[in-house]
Amino acid sequence: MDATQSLVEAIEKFAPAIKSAAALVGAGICMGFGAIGPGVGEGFAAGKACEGISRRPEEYSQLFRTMLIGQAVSESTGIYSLVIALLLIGKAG
Amino acid sequence: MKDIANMAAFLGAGFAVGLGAIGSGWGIGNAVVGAARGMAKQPSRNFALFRSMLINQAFGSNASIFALVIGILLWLKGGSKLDAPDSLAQAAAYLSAGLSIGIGALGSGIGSGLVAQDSLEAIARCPKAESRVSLMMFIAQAWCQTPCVFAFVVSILLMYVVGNNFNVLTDEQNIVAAGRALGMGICMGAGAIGPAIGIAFVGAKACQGATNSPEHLQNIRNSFFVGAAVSESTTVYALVISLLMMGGFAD
Repeated sequence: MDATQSLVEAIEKFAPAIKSAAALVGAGICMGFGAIGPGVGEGFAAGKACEGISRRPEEYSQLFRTMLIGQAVSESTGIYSLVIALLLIGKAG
Repeated sequence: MKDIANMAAFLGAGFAVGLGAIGSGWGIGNAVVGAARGMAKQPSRNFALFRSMLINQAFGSNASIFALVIGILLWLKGGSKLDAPDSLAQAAAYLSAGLSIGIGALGSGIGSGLVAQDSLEAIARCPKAESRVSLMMFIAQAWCQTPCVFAFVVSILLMYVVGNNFNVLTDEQNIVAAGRALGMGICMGAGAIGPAIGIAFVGAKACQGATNSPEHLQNIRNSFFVGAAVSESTTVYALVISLLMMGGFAD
């Protein structure tokens, strides 16, 4: 009981610092894990586009355009993570 | 707590080498899968495939060598006398250095295996195109190591640049600095996984395309470069965010 009591007191004492630290860890987790999905997704889109171009070289321009649009849409979640991470860093001060 | 930073350095060394070896093991094994399939298809190209397999395995072990270097450095730090051994921020910086390179090496190792398997099968399928495929393989292998290099740089920064002046901090500053260091390492480490696998996937398909239609190689190379560069963007965001967080240590 004493240990819990002192832990609660310590958390109350350092609450602003813990809040800032949590915002910074959250920013790191947000950008780090947010980068996994877009990276794999964009690579998958471009890889399949390369495969398609090697199979049907005459459709190059259309495949290339589709690849770019698909990658741009995949990128959006990465940009959301970036924005949230920047907001969280601003929150930490 | 006494000597918490020394303990964290040993823990970080364990994370660095333990997690860092997973991806490379998978990648090096996949190079052998590609070579074995290729040899079954083209027994006459036995020697060329074996040579290419060894090159691919050398690239695949690259990520785990980075992790090993950081692991050894952290192990030496853990055994030595530190500036601020009882500082929470110092401990978080060492743990985070290990996590950054440990998680960051996962993607590059796996990606290296993807490129290795597809390029070896491509060489077996079309032995005349060996030089074109090898060139594409070198570019793809080198490119999918870049996220791991970023993670290595962030680990070195965490160990040697960030880890100063922690003995003069107050308790509040210590807690914030600990969060900052931990966020930096996790951000760069996890941010390196996805882009490395993505770049390697593009490179693998480009290696296969290099055999199919040599007269359209220029188009395949274009889409490889553009596609891989766009994949790389998210790891650059992660690097920017961790460097921004590092800038906060100056305050």
